[in-house]
Amino acid sequence: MEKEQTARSSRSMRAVDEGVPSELWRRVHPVSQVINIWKTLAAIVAVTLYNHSRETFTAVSTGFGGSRGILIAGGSVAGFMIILVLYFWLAWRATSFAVADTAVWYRSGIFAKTQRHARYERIQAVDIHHPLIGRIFGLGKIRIEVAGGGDSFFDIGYLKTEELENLRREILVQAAGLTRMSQTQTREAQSAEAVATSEHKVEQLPETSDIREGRSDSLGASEAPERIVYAVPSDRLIASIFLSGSIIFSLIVSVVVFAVFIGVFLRWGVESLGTIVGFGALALVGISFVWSRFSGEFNFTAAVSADGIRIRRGFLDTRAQTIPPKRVHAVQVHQPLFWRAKGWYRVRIIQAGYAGGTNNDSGSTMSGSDVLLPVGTQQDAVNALWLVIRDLGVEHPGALIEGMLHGSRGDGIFTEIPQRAKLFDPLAFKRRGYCLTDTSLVIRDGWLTRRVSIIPFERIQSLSLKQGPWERRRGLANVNAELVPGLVSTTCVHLDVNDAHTLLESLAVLARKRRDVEPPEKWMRRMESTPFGASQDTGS
Amino acid sequence: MSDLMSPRGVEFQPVSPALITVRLIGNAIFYIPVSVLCAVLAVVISPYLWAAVVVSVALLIWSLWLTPRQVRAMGFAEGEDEFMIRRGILFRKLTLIPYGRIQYVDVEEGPIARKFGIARIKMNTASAQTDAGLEGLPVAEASRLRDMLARRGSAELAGL
Repeated sequence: MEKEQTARSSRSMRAVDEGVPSELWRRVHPVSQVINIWKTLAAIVAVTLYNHSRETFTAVSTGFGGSRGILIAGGSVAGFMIILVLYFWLAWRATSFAVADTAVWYRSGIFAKTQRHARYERIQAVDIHHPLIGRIFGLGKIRIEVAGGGDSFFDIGYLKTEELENLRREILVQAAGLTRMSQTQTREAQSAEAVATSEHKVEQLPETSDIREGRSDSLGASEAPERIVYAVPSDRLIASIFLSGSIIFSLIVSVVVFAVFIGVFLRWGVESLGTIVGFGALALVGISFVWSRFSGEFNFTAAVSADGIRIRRGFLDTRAQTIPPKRVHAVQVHQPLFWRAKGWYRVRIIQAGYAGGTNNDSGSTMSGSDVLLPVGTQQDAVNALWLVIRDLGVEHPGALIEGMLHGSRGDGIFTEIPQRAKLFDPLAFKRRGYCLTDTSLVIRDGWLTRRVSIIPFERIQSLSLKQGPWERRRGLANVNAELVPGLVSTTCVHLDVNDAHTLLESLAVLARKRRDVEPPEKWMRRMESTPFGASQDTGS
Repeated sequence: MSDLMSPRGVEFQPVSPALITVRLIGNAIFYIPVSVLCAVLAVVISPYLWAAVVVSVALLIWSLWLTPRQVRAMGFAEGEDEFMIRRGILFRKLTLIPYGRIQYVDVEEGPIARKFGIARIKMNTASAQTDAGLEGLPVAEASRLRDMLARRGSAELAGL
């Protein structure tokens, strides 16, 4: 009832204008819209001129004299311009931004309006950028980036260069009041946390506390000392590449293609070379896949050092990558079918900031910045796990790892999916299951390719529970943990509804608890308790 | 199992029924001209095109039946530590977003929605998978939720 009333009384106000006092809203430069769509405009003008080139030519050569067609054309161009200017004006009026106490606000849209705001403590980067056409007018845009999936930024523009610099300074000053403190605290807390957790770790793992102690005196430009945890011998890498399903498939295809190619050549001779080129191109795709995997993961070593996991890899072009353990959001161990006999595993991670190859077109298996172990024995896989997950949160990590890698139905460690689900998962049924440890959610899955994902609770961004009509009839549901973008599967499929419900609730509780325990995760609470947290009072 | 989508002790609030009207108007704006166009073409070109008219009218009627149910199935709840959104009849979904995980909140209102005083808010976390849009909020409610979510989001600021 009450809500109805508020809705009616607020009908005149707009949600997108709310939140900031109206005098704080500022406008962008009036020509912004022109710059935004100048390419389209130029194209329209060019196409029109081209299609009517003869008329244009006669018009120009006769000095725009006489012809009535020109008048009509001129009139319609003028009408078009008026509409355009009107649109520009409306769009300009609708676009504004505000630098308020707690956030930067931006709103736009004539009919469908959007409003977005970035709170200072969430801002990751502030960039100024001058596109070519903007530079002519001395105008640029400012991009405000927050952490998020997809379009997690907004551009404020266009503004004069001077205004841009001022705006950036303004935003950074506001943001610095909040973030500078949290950064120093992060650093302290991280090292404190590292020392604290180094005591409880998986049994058979290498000792590294000596390396961490070396941290304080290696703050200079020199690299921190490191120790190699594992390296991948090249013969194993080559063997593993030829034992992977997709390679075997593409090899078979290549052989067939090659046979056809020889056959075609013998039958039709030189005239068939055109076809052969086509086949050759097909074969090249397979070869380039093998090559990129080989050259990308050749000579792979992982070492542990004070500032994170150091990975070196590459055949022709070598790469060195440092992964701070705090950046790792999930791990997946998987074993393709043909590796089973050899006992080999591959370990992949999700890292904040690396979108698992989604924003580069070569695909992640090739770019490989999410690979922690290209191929390794069980011991290597366990070491790789230990590198990123300090504490599995169980009493007997050995048993859990055994269950993760080899286990199937009935080993008593994992919560299995009910018999009813067999209809949906005749194949993966035996492996499918999850396990909640004190620190992480472990999801076991896969039929031919066995895989297991380990997701620390404190990394879960949000949770969801889904159920389709057929699943409802069988009393099943899916639970998904949403993480930063990456290629690790994070869904528990076809759980019993009661299990799903319990899992969802306990994940929510456990994630909350772990977030509270994790030192760098609760900055604002601490800030509020310090006498310097005055910026809180000015907010809202 | 009707309680699967409602965690214990949580009261879900429905969204504004105005959303039904807004969605139906949106559908009508699309389907009616399409039907008329198909009818004209059927007269002019070929009587077989009446099939297209039947299909688009059927879709419109289907949406008349479906939309109110869909909207009534939507709901949200402000839990102690999470914001919850529920939706769907056939394919049901419940999303839990811890307040500390909310990176930013977008507010959107379309031209029709504005006439009816409702808006849409969208919560964004660091995950691209998080699907946390909530339609059909009265404007005042949308602003209140935006401010509340943003405030709690920074009060409980969690890293990534």
